[in-house]
Amino acid sequence: MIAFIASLNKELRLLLRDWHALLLLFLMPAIFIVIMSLALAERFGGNEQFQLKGYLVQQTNTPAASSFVQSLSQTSLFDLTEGHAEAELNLADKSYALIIAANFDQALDTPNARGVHLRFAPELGAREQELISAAVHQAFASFYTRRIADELGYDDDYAREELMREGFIGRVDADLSATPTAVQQNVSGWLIFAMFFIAIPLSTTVIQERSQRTLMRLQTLGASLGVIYLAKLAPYGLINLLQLLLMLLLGAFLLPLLGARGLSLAVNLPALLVMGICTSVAALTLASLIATLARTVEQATVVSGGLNILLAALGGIMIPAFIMPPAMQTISQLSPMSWALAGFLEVLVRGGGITDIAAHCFRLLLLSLILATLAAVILKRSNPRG
Amino acid sequence: MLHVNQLTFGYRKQQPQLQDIAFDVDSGDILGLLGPNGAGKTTLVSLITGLLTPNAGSITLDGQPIALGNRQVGLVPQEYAFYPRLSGRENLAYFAGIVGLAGQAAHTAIDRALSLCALQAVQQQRAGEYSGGLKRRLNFAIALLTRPRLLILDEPTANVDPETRKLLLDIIRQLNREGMAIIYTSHLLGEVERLCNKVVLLYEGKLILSGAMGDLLGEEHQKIYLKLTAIPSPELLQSFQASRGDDNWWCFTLPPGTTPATLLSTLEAAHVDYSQLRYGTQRLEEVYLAITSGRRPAP
Repeated sequence: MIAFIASLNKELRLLLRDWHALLLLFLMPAIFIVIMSLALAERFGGNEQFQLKGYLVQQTNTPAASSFVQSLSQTSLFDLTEGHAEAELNLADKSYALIIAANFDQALDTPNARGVHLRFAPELGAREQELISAAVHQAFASFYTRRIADELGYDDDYAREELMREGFIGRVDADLSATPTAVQQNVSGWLIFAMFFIAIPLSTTVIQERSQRTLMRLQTLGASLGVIYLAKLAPYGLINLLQLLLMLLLGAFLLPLLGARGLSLAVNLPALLVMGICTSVAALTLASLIATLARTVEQATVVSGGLNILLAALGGIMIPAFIMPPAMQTISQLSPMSWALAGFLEVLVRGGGITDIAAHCFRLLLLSLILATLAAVILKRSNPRG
Repeated sequence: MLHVNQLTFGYRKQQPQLQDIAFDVDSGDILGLLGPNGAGKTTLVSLITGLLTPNAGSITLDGQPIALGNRQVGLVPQEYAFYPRLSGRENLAYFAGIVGLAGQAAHTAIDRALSLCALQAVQQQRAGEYSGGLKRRLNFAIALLTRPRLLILDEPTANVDPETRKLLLDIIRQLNREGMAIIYTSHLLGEVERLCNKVVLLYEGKLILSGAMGDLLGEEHQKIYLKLTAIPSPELLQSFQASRGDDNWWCFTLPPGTTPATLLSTLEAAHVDYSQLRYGTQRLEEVYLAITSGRRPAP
């Protein structure tokens, strides 16, 4: 017990004095969470109204043109600002210009004539261009149907209900809270990424102890490798839980100050803790395996860093899995980070409890068992006295 | 105390790294463990500390087979086997904890080790900021925490300044006077010669020489070294058990009852002249080089 406490004390001191490791484990994920949450705020689901921002260029003010503009404004899809035809367009702000041509009225009565023009920002994707065109077409169809109904002597209600059949397509209310917000996605994702990054400082200290023969010296003093490694893993486990706490607090309290939606912590906190512990165990065992396999610090750094980035890219940390093509979504299931992410989102987004995350935890713990066994076998082989 | 008996070890049994090694270390001995790189010194140290298990033979300490974690045996590795980000005292406290020392017992052991190695003034400073000499001292101090009866030192004075070297050698002598047996590996043969009373020389995994330092160097007193201008006859060489060294230097062994004058008159009669002469005051380094280069058989 004295040996374990001494080892724990030593590891904590070493870790707290390693500024590079602390920056890597705490500052890096915090920066990622802030940047990515703010940058991707509009690309994720949530309760915010989706709107297409653009310029409205009205080259005629005839009653017909004004009526069409009114149709546009009735649909909440458009967020239009008055502008001029040559206004500069960009993705971040106004990505299109809707121009109501001077010949709008004449064009209405002329077959194949064009009365409305759309100009897009060059970098706007084809899918977004189609979406805007379709929305404008829908607004125009509404306006034109009303106009025909008016000419035939019917009222607006008749046009909407009988000609347009606006109520024909109903909408099944979706649970909007089931889709993660940018903050929920990024806090969970980059937290997991940072938790797995402990492989670098952990394997570095193990390799340094091996190459400096400190480990050998400890063995000659009668210390068991089991105690040494357990004491080594324990502080990193605590660091993982501290990462969990700090990243959640960052999401809940700092991000709202920066204009993002805050992370709600009114969730099942024990489930969140269990998810954190399971993720930490997986990260620690992976780090242990790397530490036993790598011969040099350089090898450990490259393997840990590279593997972490690969698992993150695959696991939906960097690019959310739900926007990946189906084949990639299947492949992403291979990454333990995707299991951890699914578990965290289950708790944070869908309010899941311990039973809801049991399957994710089981997968992580099973992987941990395999990794730990492999590490122990390799350690035993390389150190017959271990 | 330490008895190494017909020790054989190899990672593969067909290719032994050490073969039939036998020697003893008694309380109060300082044994110099010598040999060129790759001779098997580190393997032997690993066997004595219990890190490796022999394929054949045995190692006993006071009649008991040696085992890993025996705190009667202390090891000072050549590498700085401690933590640079911890202070000297924190390092000692950690290793004290590893050996189960806590509270006052730990404080006493740490203070003694710091005092012996003259590290009190820098005990709160991080070990990574120490000079090479201070690092060597800390490396040494850690091994003293358990007050071992047998201390194995692997190149303890490599790359240190003369003051630290003197300090470390003084500590070794002091510990030895208190009854601690020392096994000392070093390539600094002059240092070994001055410090050790026994020598074990390994070469390609075999024990080439084992015995008292005095006996090894004492043999040289019966020898005369001459730089000759011509090569004597084989009969003359044989009668004085002569062997050739570098640069026309020849080593002659005086048979019992003869004097240097006998040799010189014999050479004069054979018309073999010499330009330089010195008596057998050869140092350990010369003996070592002569044996390892095959110019001289091991005694």
